[in-house]
Formats: sequence, structure tokens, C-alpha cells
Amino acid sequence: MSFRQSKAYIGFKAFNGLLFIVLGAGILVQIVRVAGPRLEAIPGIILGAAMMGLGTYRVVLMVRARR
Amino acid sequence: MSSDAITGERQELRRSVTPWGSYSWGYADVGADIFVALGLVIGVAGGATNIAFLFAGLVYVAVGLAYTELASAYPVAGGGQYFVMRGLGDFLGFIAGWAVLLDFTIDITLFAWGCVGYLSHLPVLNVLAAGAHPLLHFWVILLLIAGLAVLNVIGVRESTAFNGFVSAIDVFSETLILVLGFLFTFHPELLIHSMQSGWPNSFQLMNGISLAIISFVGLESISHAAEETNRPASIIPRTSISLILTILIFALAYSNLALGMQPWHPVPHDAAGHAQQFWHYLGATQNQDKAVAVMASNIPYFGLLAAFYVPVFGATLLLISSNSGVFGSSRIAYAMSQFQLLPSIFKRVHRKFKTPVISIFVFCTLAAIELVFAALQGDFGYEFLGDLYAFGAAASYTLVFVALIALRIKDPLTPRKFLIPFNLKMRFRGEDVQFPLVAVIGFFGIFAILIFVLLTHHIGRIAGPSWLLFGIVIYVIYRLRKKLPVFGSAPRDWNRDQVQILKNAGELELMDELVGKLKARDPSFTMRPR
Repeated sequence: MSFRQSKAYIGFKAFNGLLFIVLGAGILVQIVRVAGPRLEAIPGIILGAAMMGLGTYRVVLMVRARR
Repeated sequence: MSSDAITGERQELRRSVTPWGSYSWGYADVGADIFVALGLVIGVAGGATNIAFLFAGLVYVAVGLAYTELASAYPVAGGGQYFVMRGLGDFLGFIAGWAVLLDFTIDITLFAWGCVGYLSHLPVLNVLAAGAHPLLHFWVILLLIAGLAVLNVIGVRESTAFNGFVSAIDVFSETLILVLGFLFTFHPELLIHSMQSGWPNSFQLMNGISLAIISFVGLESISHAAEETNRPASIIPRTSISLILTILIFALAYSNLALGMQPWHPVPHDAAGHAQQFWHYLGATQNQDKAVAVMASNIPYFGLLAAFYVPVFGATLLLISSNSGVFGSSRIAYAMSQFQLLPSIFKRVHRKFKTPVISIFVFCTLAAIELVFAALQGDFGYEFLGDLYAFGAAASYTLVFVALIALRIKDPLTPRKFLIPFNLKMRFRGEDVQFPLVAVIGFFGIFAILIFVLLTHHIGRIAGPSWLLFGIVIYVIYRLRKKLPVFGSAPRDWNRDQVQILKNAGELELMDELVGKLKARDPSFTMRPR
């Protein structure tokens, strides 16, 4: 079994995924709270959403690997 | 006499790149780009830096998807050059390859320069700063370029292992800087204020977008590694999608953090003695080539460690990105030579190491010449290289989108394990065809960036077209001497070639599928030439 298939690696990826979800959500909420529906908020909202997307993708991969 | 005749054996590159190797080749090239681009883009786009990265990033996603589909369907060295040649003919294929060769040679110099810039952020190595001892700075970069040339001659396996190790450390490190940066220094109010107070004019914004594409040039490396990757149709999509997402998020995150960051240390006054915002300080000439290190050292407490650690890993990553430039340029030239777009000397491989030694030597020499010109610019050498960059990639990617559309129509039988989403189903000459809508959007995006480059890059708009003109002269002379069509294409049997490509790549199921489709269309089809 290679390192990339090991529990330690999958666990690290899952932690990393959760971190991105939390960070992305934090950025998104803060930007929306401060800037509201303004043009300047768009890059921050996209960044937050993209981070959450990447995090979710990694967590889903981890769940599939555990099955 | 061809090089095949000289060595008396069939010349091909070793298939030694693993999935992680394929990812790290791409990551080593693209992942390092933010270290170079951030300072340059902030320097011109100011408060709209994140918008510049967003625009370039969306175009990059489309480019990335196009390369993923094409590299997994046609896993041969050459990348954009091969796809364009196959879809649009030899002449445009040459233009695409030659244009991107310009970028790869600049890549070698620009990233080696950035590597030394990051090292100079260390107190013990500040003598290496371009402004401190220009001659020492020049010789160190030249030495790096020469060292990379030797490494690449020794072989892809060795340099892939080197890339993989550093890429793993870098993914972790870049994530750490972002997490700590956003947790302890990010203020959304400051981000909004920076965007409002530092919003650039249209010219600066266009210039910023055209420089921001620098952050995303490098996916080409994955397609160049395709010929040296085992089971590329399965591996390339997996590594590319992961790479596209990671790089996009890093670029967006660093640009937003730079604008909304409250630094740990007071921001020094500018040259005129006026107070300045942190992003302004990051984009200043003395910090442009080490912007990420300056950011990291301004994260509370972590900055103490980062001041020593980030310059070292930034420099290492930039060095392997420079290495990817050597790898990429030599593989494009190798591929172009195989298809008789460049003289056969470029496909000559080393007897022992099986690497394209002549191509490596030629393009590293070109990179050294660019270094001389950049060094002559004094403090503006880095900006000079940045100005030259982007033209080749934008020109090549524009043609790649057209080639993708053309190949979907002209070559619907080749199995595509990965298909860009959002396609329009239609029938063309009796065949089912899926028209790629994303490619059309991507074409307009990258074409806009090409126009921005021509409008705003004072050096690039002269050097870029001049480089193309120089290449066309070489091409015309070579094709006339070989009695090959200059603006037309040499006769090729793409269907048999494709079967052979899939066989060489170990994609036997796809090969059988293609042979089955070809026989269904033409029952007399055989792999033996008629």
C-alpha cells in the first residue's frame, strides 16, 4: 500500500478539507456582513465559495476512501 | 541526415512519470507562479489586484479544462503545439509551439530571478538583492540556469523526484500561510477600503489582468509530461482537476489577503517619505520579487519563523518552476522536430540519458541571453521579464481553444475519457459531435487577454510579434529545404497515429475502442499502411 492510500494521508486530506470549509465559510460570512451586496464583495464571496467547494471535494473523497 | 539515422535506434522519451509526478510537474510550474505574479500585479493593478486574478483565473479554468481533455485524449509531448497542429494544420501548430517556447524560455529566467529575489529576503543573503550587487545577482542566476540544464540532461526521473518532494512541502506551506494570514491579519473592511481607494484606471487594470495570467501559465507542463506518463488518459484528468482547483484558490486567496491584510510590523514610508498602505508596499519595486515572503513575515508570531522559512521554500519552488521551463521548452522543441516543424537536431536525444540534450542546451542559452537583456535594465529587470511574459501563452492558448473545437468536429472518433462540461450535441457529416460551449467562452477570455498584452506591454508587444516573425522565417526556410508544404500540412494518417499513440501510452482499452469505431466506419481499415 502506497503512502497516498494510507490512513494517515487520507486523514490529513480530510482535515485539510474541513479546514478549507471552515475558512471559506468564515471569509464568505465576514465579507457579506461587511460589504453587503456590493461589487467589491464579489472576489471575496467567490474565494469563500471556492474554498468551501475544494474542502467539500476533499471530504467527499475521504468518505469514499473509507467505504 | 536525421538523428535517428545517426543513433541508429528509435528515439523516444521514457515513460517514468507517476500520477504524483504528473501533478507535481504541473504544481511546480503553476504553484510557484503566485510567488512571482503577486508583486508584479499589485504593482500595476493596486486595489483591483483580486479582480485581475479573478478574471485571469476564470480564463485559466477554461484553459485548464481544455488542456485536460486534449492531453488525456492525445497523450504526446508538445502540448498546445500538437493539439493545434492536429486540429488546424502544421503552420498554426508551429505558431502555437513557437509562441509558447518564448514563454518557457522567459519562464526559466524569470523564475530563476525570483528564486534569487526570495533568497535575498534572508538577512544573511541580502547581498544577492538585484539592487545591492547587480553583477553578483547576474552570475548567481546564470549559474542556476546552467545547473538546471545539467539536471535536465541527466534525466526526467531525477528531476521529477526533486519536484515531487518540494511540491509536497509547498502545498502544506502555502496553506499554512493562508490559514494563519486569514485568521490573524485579515480585515474585510480593509479589503473593501483598499479596493475603493486603490482602484486603478482601465489601462492599469488591463495590464494587471495580462500579468495575472502569469499565475496560471504551466498546465502545459502536464501535457508535456503526458508522453512520459503511464496510463495518461486516466491519470491526466485526475491530476489536472486537482491542480486547477488548488492553484485557482491560492491565487484568489493571496490576492484578497494582500489587499485586506493588517501587517504585524509598521509599514515603512515610501520613497517620497509618505505613509503607504501595505499592498502598496508589497507592489513596490524592491518587494516585487519577494512579495509572498514579505506577506508571510507580517503574520503575527508566525512571521518570526516565516521570515527565514518562506524565502527558502519560495526560492526552492521558484527554482523547480524554472526547471519546469527547461523541461517544457525542450519537450516542445522535441515534439515540433518530430513533426517536421523544426530541424531534426532538436529531437536528438542523449545516448545514455535519453533526454533531448540539444533542445535543452539551445533554450537554456536563449534564457541566458534574456537574462543579459534583463540585467541591463537595472532595477527594472524583473518588470522587463514580466512584460515579455504572457504574450506567448495568450497567443498559444487562443489557438488551442480553436483547435479543441476543430478536433471535436474533425475527430469525433477518438475516445475522450474526460470531456469539458456544457456541450451542444449536433451532427456533422454523419457523425455525432459535441460542440464545447466552454471553449467558446474561454476563447473570448484569452483573446481579450492577448489584446490586453498587446495594448499594455510596451516591450512584449514588440518582442512577442518579432519572436513569431523570427520563427516563421526559420520555419519557411526549413520547410522549403525539406520540400514540405509551407502553409499547408504534410500528409499524415492521424487515425493510425492515434491508435499507435494509445498503444504506446498503455491505454489498450481505448485503443480497442478506437479501432472498433474506425472499422465500423470503414470495414477495410487496417493498421498496416496501404
